[in-house]
Amino acid sequence: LQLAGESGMDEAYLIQAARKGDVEAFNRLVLAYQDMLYTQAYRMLGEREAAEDATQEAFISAYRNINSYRGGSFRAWLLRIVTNACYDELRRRKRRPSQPLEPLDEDEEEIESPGWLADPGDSPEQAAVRLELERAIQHCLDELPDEFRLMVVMVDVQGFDYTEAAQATGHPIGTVKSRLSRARLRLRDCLKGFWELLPAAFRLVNEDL
Amino acid sequence: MTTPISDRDWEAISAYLDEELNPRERARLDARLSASPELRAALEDLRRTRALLRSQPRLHAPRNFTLSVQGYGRVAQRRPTPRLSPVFAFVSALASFLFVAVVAGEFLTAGPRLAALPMSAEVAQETVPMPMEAPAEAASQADQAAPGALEVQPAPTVTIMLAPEGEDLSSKAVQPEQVGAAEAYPQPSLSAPSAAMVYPPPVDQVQGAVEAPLPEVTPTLEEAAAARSSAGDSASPTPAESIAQAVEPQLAIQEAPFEASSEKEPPTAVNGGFFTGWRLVQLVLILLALASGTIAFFLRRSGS
Repeated sequence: LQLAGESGMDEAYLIQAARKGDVEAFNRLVLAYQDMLYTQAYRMLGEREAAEDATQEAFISAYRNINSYRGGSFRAWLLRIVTNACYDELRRRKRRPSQPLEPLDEDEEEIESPGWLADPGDSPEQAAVRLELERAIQHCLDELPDEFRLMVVMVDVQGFDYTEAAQATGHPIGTVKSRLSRARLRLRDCLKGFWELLPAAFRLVNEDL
Repeated sequence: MTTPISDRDWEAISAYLDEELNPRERARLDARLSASPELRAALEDLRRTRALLRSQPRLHAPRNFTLSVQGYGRVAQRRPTPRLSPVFAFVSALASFLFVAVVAGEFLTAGPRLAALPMSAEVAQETVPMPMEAPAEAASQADQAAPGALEVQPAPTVTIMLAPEGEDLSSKAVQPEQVGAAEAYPQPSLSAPSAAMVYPPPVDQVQGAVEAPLPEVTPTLEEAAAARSSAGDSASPTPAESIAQAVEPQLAIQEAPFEASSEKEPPTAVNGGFFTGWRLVQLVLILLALASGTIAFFLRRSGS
């Protein structure tokens, strides 16, 4: 992805510059990682506005605390910050349960989704399936306990390996492994019915991934 | 459904899919998979689920989350200034305070041995017999002798060197002078520190008092040397020359640091190590106070 271009020396240089207060340099890091952080926040919170808030909050916090980054995976460090922001939001919601937890099942999600789901090659039918799938996945993710959801988003959505996921969540690898497996098991059950409904061609495409 | 498969097995299968099993675990699971259709089904289940999750593209941020250079750039640039300026100001204030404390401490610790500031004149008159004999001149001589005394201090060693070499006459001729000087000087040198104590506050006096003795010190010593050499001349010319030569380099050596150092220095030399310590601390503190104060000032100005 576009992260590849920002890795290595370039990223180290930008981090160093950001440490010295270079906002422009930090903003290049923001542009490189904002999709990843937003995805994380959205998958964790299941809601666009809250995800935007958490992402912005995370980048501000990252800029202010850039000196606490001590090497290692920078994206894992960033994901840890955005995860903390998401947990803050989730705690806030638990204190005020009147807030709707899943506004996505309503029509508003359809307005937001096509932005990232639209594929030029998709027929309207395929696009509809994609949208359905996306909503089903998010619905099932929302059902998971927070700490299970965190692991499955880290590994299966962000594509982190266990070591990096451990770094980003602050848990040992054994915890990553067991929570991930339990999360996948629950998701399997949640998505089972949906899987049967998918067109065979679509299933085959996804099997290859 | 999942009954035959334990949590541990699910974990192994899950890690197997992520290729996070070590070769041994992997080989063992491979063997069990080929033997167990339930495990193979479980693996297939999880593989689908995993593939489904991974089929989801990374979302695009609905907007850019870049920080505004105006909002955060200035914050970043301002940060060092408000942080550092008070630090330097504090250091300056602390150094100033310590300087005052050290000066006061010097007074207090010097108090038992030296007369206090207003007392110094009386004490000098009472305790120093020699100036009393010629009050008008002695007063000025005592002051001048004070720095002179330290210049002369090496002289006794010269006298000692001279004594064995010279004849009885010369030693007799010289010794009284030296003894006189030795007796006279220590006492003025006692009053000298007290005068030195007076110096720091009235700067004008310091310059007047200190600069004046300087030119006179040399003549005094030269006179002493001349007196000695003249006394030695009558006895033996050779030692006289050696004395003059011996005294002069010492004079030069003594004068060099004297001139190089500031007007505050005489007391340092007078009381040796003890006052060197005080002076050094005072000098460092006042320099620190001035330097950090200046830095704080410029930091604050550049910050605004």
